[in-house]
Amino acid sequence: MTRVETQDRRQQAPRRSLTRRLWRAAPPGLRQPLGLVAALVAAAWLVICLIGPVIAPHDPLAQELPRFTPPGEIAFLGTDELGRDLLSRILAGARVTIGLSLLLVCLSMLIGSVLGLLAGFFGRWVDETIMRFTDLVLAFPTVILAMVTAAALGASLFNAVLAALVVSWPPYARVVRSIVLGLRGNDFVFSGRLLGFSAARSIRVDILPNTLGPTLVLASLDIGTAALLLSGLSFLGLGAKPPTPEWGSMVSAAVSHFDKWWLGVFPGLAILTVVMSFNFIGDALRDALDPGVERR
Amino acid sequence: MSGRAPVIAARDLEVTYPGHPPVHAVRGVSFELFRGEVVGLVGESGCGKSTIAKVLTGLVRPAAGEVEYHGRPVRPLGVGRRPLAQTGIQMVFQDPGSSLNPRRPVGAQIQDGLDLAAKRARRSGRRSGAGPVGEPPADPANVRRVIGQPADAAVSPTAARLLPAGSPGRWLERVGLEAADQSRYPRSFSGGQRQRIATARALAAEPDVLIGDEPISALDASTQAKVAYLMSRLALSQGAVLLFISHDLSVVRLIADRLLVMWAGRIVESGPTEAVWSNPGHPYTKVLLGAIPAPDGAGRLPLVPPSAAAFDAPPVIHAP
Repeated sequence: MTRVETQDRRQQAPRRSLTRRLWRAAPPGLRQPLGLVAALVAAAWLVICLIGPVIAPHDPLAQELPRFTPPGEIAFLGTDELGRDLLSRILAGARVTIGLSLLLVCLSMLIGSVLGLLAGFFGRWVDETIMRFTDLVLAFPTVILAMVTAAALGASLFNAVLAALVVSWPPYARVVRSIVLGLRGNDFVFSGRLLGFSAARSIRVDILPNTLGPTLVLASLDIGTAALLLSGLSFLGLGAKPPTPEWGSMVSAAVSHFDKWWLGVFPGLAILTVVMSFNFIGDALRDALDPGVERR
Repeated sequence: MSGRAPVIAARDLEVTYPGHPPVHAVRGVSFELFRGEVVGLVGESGCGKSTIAKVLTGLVRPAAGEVEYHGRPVRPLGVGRRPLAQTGIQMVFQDPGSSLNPRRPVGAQIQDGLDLAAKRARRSGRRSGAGPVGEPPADPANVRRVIGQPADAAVSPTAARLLPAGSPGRWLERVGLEAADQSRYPRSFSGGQRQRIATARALAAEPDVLIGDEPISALDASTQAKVAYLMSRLALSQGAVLLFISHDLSVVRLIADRLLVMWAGRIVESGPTEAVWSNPGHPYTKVLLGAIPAPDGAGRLPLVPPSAAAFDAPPVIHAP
């Protein structure tokens, strides 16, 4: 692009509308229609997490409506086998499912990053010990291991998160370790060591900030998986106990009333939209943080 | 120069990298570097130049021999913190793309060097930044003049004396950038600018040995001489010895007092720059000099590599 063209563009800039400027400022991934829709859906769910119980038309636990009312005037999304309002339960359940998924992802990221940093930075026997243990956990089928752990701990939401945590940290450890191995050979890490950085300082200043981007991408992709895993455990009766409004256990309860389609479809749609929107956001973040991709 | 004690000395260094078969990168290299001199270490890619730099700083452990810094052996860098006494050896690396942390403002990175200098000064009970930093060296014979290159060409004309001597902004001005640049990130600087910032970072630590490991090889021709000249000027003004490693004799010649020519892990020729340049004795040095392209339009190809017999040729040492 020549200098003249650049100047022309600058002169046009003030005439651009606000939405157009916001659009241009957004990360490239969000500038695709799919990314934008995903961001809006995810934002809506996060708002519902905060204010869900307030905007719910009914108490999610109150059994005050006719049982098995189909979606309509009495209840927008219908009622369940105990006469509870489905819409209110879904709104209240957002806090449980999404909140716990976020908690789970944060904890996995924390544990995985610490182990990955230690393994990658110190190498040798530290690396061998940590990574063989990681391989050991990865060798088990995820859901089975989580089920066994949850069953052993006893059914409760807290135990479900713990059980999910047992299986969800290894990918973080592996990703962080591989990034650290790449970073460790970088000249700026050497020159930090030459300037007398301790191992802790080197990790904090030179290594950790450079692992955050890819780790956050993995985390945002993982929120959907975490929501599925937690819902799955609840579906199997290993997570939320009645009457807690949790989406997975709502789907589970719907199985025994298969002809009342709304009981399963709406909580299922809630899970689907959360998982998909966070997946698209993860893709968008990956595109935005990938240094190889230039902003256009 | 034998009357003075060397600042840093390599004694019979041997370095082997594991592999099948193992790579014998350095085969018995010895040299001494003295305060206030610029020494060029030249040779082709893979001759062991960078390995020497890494051994001198302790980043690589030699298989045999040792490095003495002020008469005490340099301990190879392990997992722990580098001994404070050895932090007087600093290095500017080859790749401008990775010599600075991309996620930190350059000012903070230069501050690391300043912090180290302050810490060493506290330990030894003297004030840091007291030296005649940034001033022209007292002995003009120490600096080889670059033709058509005024001494302060790379230094910003607005070099403000208002900033304290030991501030990142002041250091940026010393290397020809602006004090306001300190809050910017490495990605907004060019390769040459990044190498200057890396030089500032290393020199802010007030080293008495500065090693430049091919610091200019990734830069374009017009920037190369500028950065090389800047490094030698600033290093000398601090009273440091500069070991400048390069494959490009034509630039090294401009700044170096003394040359060490390295080939296949050995030093094959050493001596004052002019002596080596005008009267090369070893077959390999002749090839290296012949490989410098001349802008005479003749379009000659470099000479053929030296024959195997050159391996047996004894090292040539020019008297100082």
